[in-house]
Amino acid sequence: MRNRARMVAFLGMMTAVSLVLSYVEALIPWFPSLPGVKIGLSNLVVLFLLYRSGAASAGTVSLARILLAGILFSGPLSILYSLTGGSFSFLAMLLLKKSKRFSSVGVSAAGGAMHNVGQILVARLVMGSDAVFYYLPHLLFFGTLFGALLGGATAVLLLKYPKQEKV
Amino acid sequence: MLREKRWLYDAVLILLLFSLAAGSLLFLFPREEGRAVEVRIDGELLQVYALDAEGSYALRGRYGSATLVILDGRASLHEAACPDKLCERRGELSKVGESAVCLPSRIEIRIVGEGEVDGYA
Repeated sequence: MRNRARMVAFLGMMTAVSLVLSYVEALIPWFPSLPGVKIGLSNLVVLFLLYRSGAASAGTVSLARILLAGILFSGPLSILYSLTGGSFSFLAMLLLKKSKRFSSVGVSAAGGAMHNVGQILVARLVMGSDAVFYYLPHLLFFGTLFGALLGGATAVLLLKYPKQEKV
Repeated sequence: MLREKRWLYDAVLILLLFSLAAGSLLFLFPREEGRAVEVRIDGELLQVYALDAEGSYALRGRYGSATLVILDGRASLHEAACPDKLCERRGELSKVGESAVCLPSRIEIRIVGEGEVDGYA
């Protein structure tokens, strides 16, 4: 980016968007039967940044959003879940993107799935019971599904904002 | 825009993820071998037989009768006094939760596992 101040402002803005998306999706009464199923709207921003600004920017925004959302809305436990899920997800997405074999749809699908895997592992640690694994099929399915959908949405965004000096 | 090759990889990946989800489902809910079979007639628990207690047992209810056969750790219904014989066609039961019902006779047998047996015949 042309200068640091611009970068900071831009990423700050992206974090804000991500945060708002995170909040909005928390408002959706989704599947009261199963906790942890969320669309992951805020990941849209992270994915977009991954493609346009690079891993460092995307990772920073993701981390900032997790911490802020945790402080503002949920709590320390939830931060732990999000951090684990988020890092698993981020790593998967980064690797897949680097391989250049997948489009944003596949990348995001894997990200979504890995996010939930990470969360289940934390849940296993926290709850100390193997019963949490009963959620795995459900979470994996929806993580993949929503990830793929988000990936599609991101693809559209990426088309609208082609690679240029902007970022 | 849709570079064909990439979408193929995506599809494969997504299918893989979905099958992992389905696979974990099967893995998590294994069917456990049963230990005994409960006999209910008209809804009431009448008798529990251990699955190693081989033999034929006459089950008689107000609405009909049947024979419970336990062989090789499997339970099945035979000689049911009903027209459709669906209960007999159910076959041999051996996993926890499996059950066979003769609706006209109101006779039901169900496989139970460890800890659920409070009496042996």
